Amino acid sequence: MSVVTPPQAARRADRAADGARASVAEWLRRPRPPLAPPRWLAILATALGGIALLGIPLVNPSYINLTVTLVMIWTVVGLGLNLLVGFGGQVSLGHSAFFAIGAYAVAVGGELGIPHPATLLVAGMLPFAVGYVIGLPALRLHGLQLGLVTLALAMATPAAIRAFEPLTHGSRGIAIDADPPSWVPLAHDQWIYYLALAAAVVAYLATRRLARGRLGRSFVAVRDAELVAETLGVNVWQTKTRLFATSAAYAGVAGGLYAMLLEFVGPENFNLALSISFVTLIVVGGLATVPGAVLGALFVQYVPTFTSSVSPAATGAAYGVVLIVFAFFLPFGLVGLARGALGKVVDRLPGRRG
Amino acid sequence: MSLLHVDIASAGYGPVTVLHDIAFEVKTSGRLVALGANGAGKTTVLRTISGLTQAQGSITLDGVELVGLTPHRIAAAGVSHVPQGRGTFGDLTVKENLLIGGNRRPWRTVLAEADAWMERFPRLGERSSRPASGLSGGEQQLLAIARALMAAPRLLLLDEPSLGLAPKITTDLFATLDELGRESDTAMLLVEQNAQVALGIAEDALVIESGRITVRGPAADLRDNDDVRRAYLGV
Amino acid sequence: MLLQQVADGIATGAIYGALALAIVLVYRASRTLNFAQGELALLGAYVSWQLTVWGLPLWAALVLSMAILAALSAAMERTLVRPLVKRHQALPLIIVTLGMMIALNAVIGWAWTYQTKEVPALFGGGALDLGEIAVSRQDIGIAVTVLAVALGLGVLFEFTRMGLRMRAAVSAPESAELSGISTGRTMTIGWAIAGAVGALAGTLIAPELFLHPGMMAPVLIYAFAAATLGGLDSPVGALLGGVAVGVVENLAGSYLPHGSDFKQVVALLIIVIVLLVRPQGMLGRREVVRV
Repeated sequence: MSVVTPPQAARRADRAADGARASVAEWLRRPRPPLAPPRWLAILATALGGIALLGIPLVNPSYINLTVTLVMIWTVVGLGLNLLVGFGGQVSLGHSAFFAIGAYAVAVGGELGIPHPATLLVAGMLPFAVGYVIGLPALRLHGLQLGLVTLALAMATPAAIRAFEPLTHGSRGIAIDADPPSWVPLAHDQWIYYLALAAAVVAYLATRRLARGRLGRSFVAVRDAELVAETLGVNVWQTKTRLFATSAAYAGVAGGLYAMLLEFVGPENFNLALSISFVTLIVVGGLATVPGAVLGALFVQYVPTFTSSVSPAATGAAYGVVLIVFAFFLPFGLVGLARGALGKVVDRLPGRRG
Repeated sequence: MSLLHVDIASAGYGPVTVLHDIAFEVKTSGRLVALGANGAGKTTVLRTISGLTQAQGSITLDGVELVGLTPHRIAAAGVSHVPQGRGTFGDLTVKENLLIGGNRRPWRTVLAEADAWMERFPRLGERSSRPASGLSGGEQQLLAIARALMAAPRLLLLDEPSLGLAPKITTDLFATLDELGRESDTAMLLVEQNAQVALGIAEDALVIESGRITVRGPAADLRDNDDVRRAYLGV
Repeated sequence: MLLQQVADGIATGAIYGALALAIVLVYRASRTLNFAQGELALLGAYVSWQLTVWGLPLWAALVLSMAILAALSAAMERTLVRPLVKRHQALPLIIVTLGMMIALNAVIGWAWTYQTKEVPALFGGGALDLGEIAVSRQDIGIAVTVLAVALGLGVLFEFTRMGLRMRAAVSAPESAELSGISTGRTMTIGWAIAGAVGALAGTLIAPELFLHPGMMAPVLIYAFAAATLGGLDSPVGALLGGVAVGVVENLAGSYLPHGSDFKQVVALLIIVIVLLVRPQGMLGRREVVRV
């Protein structure tokens, strides 16, 4: 179990251990506390970032807005999946299924005449319920078995969507009209952009709270020492099912936004490759880190655009190699790397922290 | 002439050091018993010799350095280790357990010796093609010792063979062990909490407390040593 | 009609059983699942195909492909799997074999394109008429080949010294090591055999499904279902599970509405139900949870 140490003290220890004996591989693998910037820097970065994010859709063509919106959608999935895998230690290779449920909730809800932003709530609640039901048996399964079940789930998702034809219209898919309500003076791409931004910000702050709060600590306790956690009064059963359901809800909301963005859903959108890109996202960004979801989302959005121009096989090869390399050398992903590289610099900056 | 020289500065699991400055010898065909309370580090001594625990220092068997070798190479060098809790292969048959013991020797010899063991101990022979997990505790211990001896080792390491056995069965087992030891020239290093029976079959003895050797001498002397009597013989 | 469906199911089931056998061998060796097992089998199928294009008879191509995949699988165990098994980390292992799965698939797509290839059947065309049902020569050949390989492995495990060592290493790794068995070596051998058996499964199923990079993904799920059903550490269970899954899949495909879609959901259901009701499967050993 990790011992909670103040970031700066931990980093001093880190520096002390940086002796000649520590190899590069060890240095890369070492867990590190989050960056602790002085308050002025945190406020400045948040303000600049906020202005940039709010301004992007107003000055850019719609295809740029589309890709940035996708990054925010992947961020939401990544935050939820990392909560489950990174903080909870439970594997899911099947989050494409929850993503699909969210997307179809919006699509079918639209067909039933429910207005769009409202269907997003259903897109979160339905996967939460399904995740809860799946989470119940899942807590009886250990890591590998859960990996197996969720992999099978991801592989069966397109077929399952086709099989429920009366609801999903099978392979034909469902077209969605997600234009903004008449009182909103925005184009479709801008409207979805701001919805996704709102979802991503809420998800980010909620995840950070969860990860740092009592609930997050109980997740980690259950991950690292289930029996010990139980004797300390953590309800393992409840913790695991809630975690699974919450994680599924994130994916569902993201799926709903995805459906609204593309204005179409079809079974082939939700294949195994999607699930694998979710896993790649959190591995690249950094397991058990909150900002990792953002970096990972950027990776899965922009790397395939680049690699697919090289060869149709390059994306798969890149993901595969990246997964292997990160599992061996960078268990805390790009965020871990950034913490190692920037930690000392940030600690030396003057100013009050906290 | 000594078979095994142990001279280690420390040994343990990762950052935890269990043993400090342990040095002793086992004579060729000799029998040494290591006594000590639970958690004193007796098991770690055996695990260090057979390569399951990392150590700093030197352990030689007939001049061959064992520190740094993998357990299966140490076994091949002539060390047979019967781990605590017997270490039988539960879902292999009794006969297969014996064969596994001799898996590095000529197969014909091994088959013949396995048959000889089962003839000598009919309880094993009757169950030769049943899974070893079906044997009683005493039978499993006997099987584990037989398996270890099937390798024709230079040195036999035994970790608390009396653990979990009824007193009568323990006495029988040690009688058998004594007998087997006399028949072969295999040296024995025995770790026990049951000092009474252990000192009965050993030549030399030492006491381990908190990872260090505190008392050593001929087994007969230790039996008369007041401290040892109080601590380990319950008198 | 029903009998015919069952007969057809047995042949595909034999192939699922073979791939499940590969999964089981790896699980017994390293206590992990190799998510790249399907893609290794796919690579085996492509290597066989390539060798026949270069003029080798199909039988020779199959044997050579099995040897190549055995070496590759063993190398994967040594370099990628062993270090993580030693660290006792489940999640990185899952990530690494998943990474192998997509990387291998990409390499195959890059080397042989995404065009479908036609693979000659090993056992010629035609069917045998057995009264009410007709069984193709190909199906009989597949079933017989898988059975022969299974028997061969059975003999290896039960009656040879190496087989005994491998079983001992699975039963109690530490005691095996103390008995002079290199458990590292038995692990590598387990992976090598799994690689060869996988190549066999891939080459056998290629003529049925047509060879393309997406061929093995659904087969892998059926094989996982078969291995789960039979018991992840039971080679015999894997084969029986394979046949059972093959038959159920065929019946579901024929009799359920949207059958061809429901088939894959059936695999998921089998896995979930078995893991919940009898996690050790039909013939597996009940595993003690290590804390």
